[in-house]
Amino acid sequence: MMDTDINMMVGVFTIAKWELLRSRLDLSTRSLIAAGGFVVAIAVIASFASHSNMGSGLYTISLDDANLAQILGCDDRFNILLLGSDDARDVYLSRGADILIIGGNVSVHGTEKSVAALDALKSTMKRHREIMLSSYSDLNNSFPVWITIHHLEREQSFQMLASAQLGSELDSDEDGGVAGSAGTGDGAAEGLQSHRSGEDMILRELEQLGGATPSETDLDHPAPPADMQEFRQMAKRNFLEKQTVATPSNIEPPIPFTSVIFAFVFMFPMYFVAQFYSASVMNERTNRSGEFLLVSPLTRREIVAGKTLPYLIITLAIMFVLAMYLKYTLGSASITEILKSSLLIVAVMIPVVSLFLSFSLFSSILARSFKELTFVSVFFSTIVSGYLFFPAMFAHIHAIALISPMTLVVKILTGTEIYLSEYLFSTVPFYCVSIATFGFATLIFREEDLFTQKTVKKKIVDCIELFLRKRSYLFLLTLILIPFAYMFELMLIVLLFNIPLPYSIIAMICISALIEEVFKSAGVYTLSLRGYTGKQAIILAVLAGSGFFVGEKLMVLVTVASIADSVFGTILSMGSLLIYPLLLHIGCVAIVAFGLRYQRYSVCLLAATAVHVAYNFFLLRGFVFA
Amino acid sequence: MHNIISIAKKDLKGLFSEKTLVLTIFIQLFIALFSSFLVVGLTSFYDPGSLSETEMKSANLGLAHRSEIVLNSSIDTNGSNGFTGFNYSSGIQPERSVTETLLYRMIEVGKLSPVAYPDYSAAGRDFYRSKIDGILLVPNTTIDGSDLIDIHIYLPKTDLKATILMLQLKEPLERFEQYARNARTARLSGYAPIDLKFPEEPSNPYFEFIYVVLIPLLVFTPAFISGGLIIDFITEEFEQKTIDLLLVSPVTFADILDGKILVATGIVPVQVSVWIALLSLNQIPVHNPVAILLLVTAVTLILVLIGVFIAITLRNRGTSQLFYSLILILLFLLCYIFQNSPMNLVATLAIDSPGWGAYLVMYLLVALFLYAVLHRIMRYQSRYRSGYRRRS
Repeated sequence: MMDTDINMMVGVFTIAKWELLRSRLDLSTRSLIAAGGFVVAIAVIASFASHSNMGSGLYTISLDDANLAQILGCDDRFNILLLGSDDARDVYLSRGADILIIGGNVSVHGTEKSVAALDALKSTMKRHREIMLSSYSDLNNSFPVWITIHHLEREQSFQMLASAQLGSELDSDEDGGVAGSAGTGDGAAEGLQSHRSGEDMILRELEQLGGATPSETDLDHPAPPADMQEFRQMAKRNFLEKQTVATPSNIEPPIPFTSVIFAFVFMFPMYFVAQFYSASVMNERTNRSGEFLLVSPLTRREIVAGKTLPYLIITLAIMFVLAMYLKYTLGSASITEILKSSLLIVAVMIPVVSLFLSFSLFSSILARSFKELTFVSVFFSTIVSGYLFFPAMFAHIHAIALISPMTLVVKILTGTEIYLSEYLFSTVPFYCVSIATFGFATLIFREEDLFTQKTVKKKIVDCIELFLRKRSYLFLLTLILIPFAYMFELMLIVLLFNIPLPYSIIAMICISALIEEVFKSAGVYTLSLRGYTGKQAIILAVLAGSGFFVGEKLMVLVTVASIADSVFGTILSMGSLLIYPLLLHIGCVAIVAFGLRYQRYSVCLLAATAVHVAYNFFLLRGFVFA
Repeated sequence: MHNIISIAKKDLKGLFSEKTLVLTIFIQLFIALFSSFLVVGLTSFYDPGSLSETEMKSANLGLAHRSEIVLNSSIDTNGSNGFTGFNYSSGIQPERSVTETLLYRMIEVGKLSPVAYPDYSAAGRDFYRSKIDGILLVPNTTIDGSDLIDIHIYLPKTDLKATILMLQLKEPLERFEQYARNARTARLSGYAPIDLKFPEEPSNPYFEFIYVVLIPLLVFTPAFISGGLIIDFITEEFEQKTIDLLLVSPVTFADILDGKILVATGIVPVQVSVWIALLSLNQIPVHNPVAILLLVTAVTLILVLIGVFIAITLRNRGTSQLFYSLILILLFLLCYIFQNSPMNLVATLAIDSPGWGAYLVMYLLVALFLYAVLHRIMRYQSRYRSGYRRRS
């Protein structure tokens, strides 16, 4: 046992070494230097790009006041026409300008553009006022009102939990969709015992903060600036800091665009490395050099691991350096702290990077040409980045943000502590999906699939067929496919977010039912190609249906329960309704299993989806028809 | 010419048979949906007006005072006046309760329905029981005094309601700030606020985002994709060694490139016109569609030619794509900095603002110039003329 392990390691390292040597040959010294030059140029330009010129010259304003013209001229969005009052009015009336300002009176056309120009004008005037006032050294008279925001810990009304009680059949993701679009609902559990201590804590904090006069508050709680000097320093402060003290005009709602920027910085290296990785696999296929690998005494698992390892390590190394740099620039002094946070960030990024790499591996095996590969990989990376970006925008705002590991990265960078449960919640789907994808890719990493022009569908059927060595593996297959369905459905929330409310839920229910049915019946479909009897169909349906059911519940437990406090509450509330979803899952697969003997796959799938949708509508009737 | 067309046909057929076009459209659709999610999601956050009434009422605010003044009663005593009638320097009322009432009233006329509490402990208890979602501690400072008016707001950590509340509070707080300023800025020497009278017009918070970000992004995504596409077209021929086969046929290397450029550039205006049509169907009028199509075609040709230059020098797909993406980022950043970048021109064109003609011509000329440069290289470099030989 020990021996085979060591042998495997040796094999993996040999492949990894080859891969490194080869890819260095791909990148000559000159192109490496050129690439480095580009990166430096990009960094330099990015540091200058503080001021955007997007949208310059959008609106035209005609006015007769030279002083005002000078103020508005600072905003690129405006074309300023400084004319005499009569000319200005003529230009405006002949639709040559969107806004007319004469004698302090602003007039606009009724058009959308003109009104948008008015909005822009208002914001510019406000900015000007703030700048003018900050030039005075008298803070108390120019900025009289100050807001201090404190955040209090309160048991979160976690919507997933609330909805899990409502309809246990639906997996957490669908509920998230409902909650995400509705944005309401208070499901704070009632439990007087736990209330007491939390309540006391809040009262103590209120007493401590509110009871003291502002000047007495300790250093932990920022206070308004003492004089103008301090105010200007505050205005210049790092934009990454969470705003806690501000004047009403300067207060910004806590929507951190910064987290989107972080997400981008960390995802960028991944795109490139994944490109190289998939190109390398594709090269093995087109040059048929992979044949030598396959006839070598190494197992397929060793080959895949060896090919992946260098890319994984390189990406993580880049992430580590990036994290150190960012943490350093964010003003963290001690080296140990920087190292600790960077290692944490790498730990968060491991599942994300493996997901990217596993998708690139799978798509480079599926693709028939480079073009197809580009598109398949761009497609996958847009979907994954959407998944990573969207929730991260709500970091610091809502716990739902934790479905993206990027939220954790933002938290670590801003110095917030993260918990193991949060780590599990956001990374478990990534671990599951990437391990499963690597597994499936290894299964079809063989001559018949690498060096033939089989269609994508054929190859997917191949890898399912290889997985289903025994019929009973069907249970395992559907269980493994759960995280895929879960991630797909989370993506749906993003995509359907902007459809008006009742329709978005209806669309969500229908599409997610379809997705679930596809994943549930994929194994059954593959087996149907070989043919089975009616009795076997029942067995298959039970296996697939219960596999999906168990997987779904596990997913809910690992993700939702770990983040919402009361695990037991979730389980208990599910108990009463457990039997129906199990029956539903088995029934839907049975429809497909029997139907496939008479009808085409798509027809059976639609029938099963219809049943599933009907069931979901019944459960969610309160939401939909409210 | 015939040769060029047949190469173009071959590559176009490849695109259709591998369903890459379908995927391209999928990607664009995804980007559209995703960015409109951003618009609707974020602007409805920033703009309180676009949130529905029910969502607003679901977030409650409690106002409390540090000392034991009952907020309700102080409203009752002053209520009949209406807050505009308050005289902040009036000596009859205790000053702190006037401050308090003013703030309370200002919040009340907005969309929030505040709850008054006699003291902070009662407010804290209700906060914990989720009856209210935020506490605002009203300070004991006079509006026309010289001390800073220090307002403390307590919000639940990591809760969407905290954001909704802050957004709702911003406007009344700003009005309160202006009120206090009106009283105090008189003491600043030489400060004269500029007073503009704005007409009341309901505005569309999405307008600027749609025209400045969304439309340029939608219109240029096919162009970005085409640049990558041509790299695949060319490096594929090199890596699969099919270029040798093509070159023994009567086509020249320049013909092959022209055919590929034709496909990669030609598919873009088609996609863009579909986008423009779809936007118009969604009641987002896009002005000057012909000029936009011209501009996009010019920019696509520039990007595609950049792709060609990279691909014929590097001949390796991975590195070529890497360089192409690096250049793309660089160009993107430049667009962000410079006025009259193609992105901004599309915005100006779509919104129907003046001043784009000269730049449109400029981009067309740049595209044609690059194309001429490519053909010059083709003509003078022997390795492209007398068939392709592999570099050793």
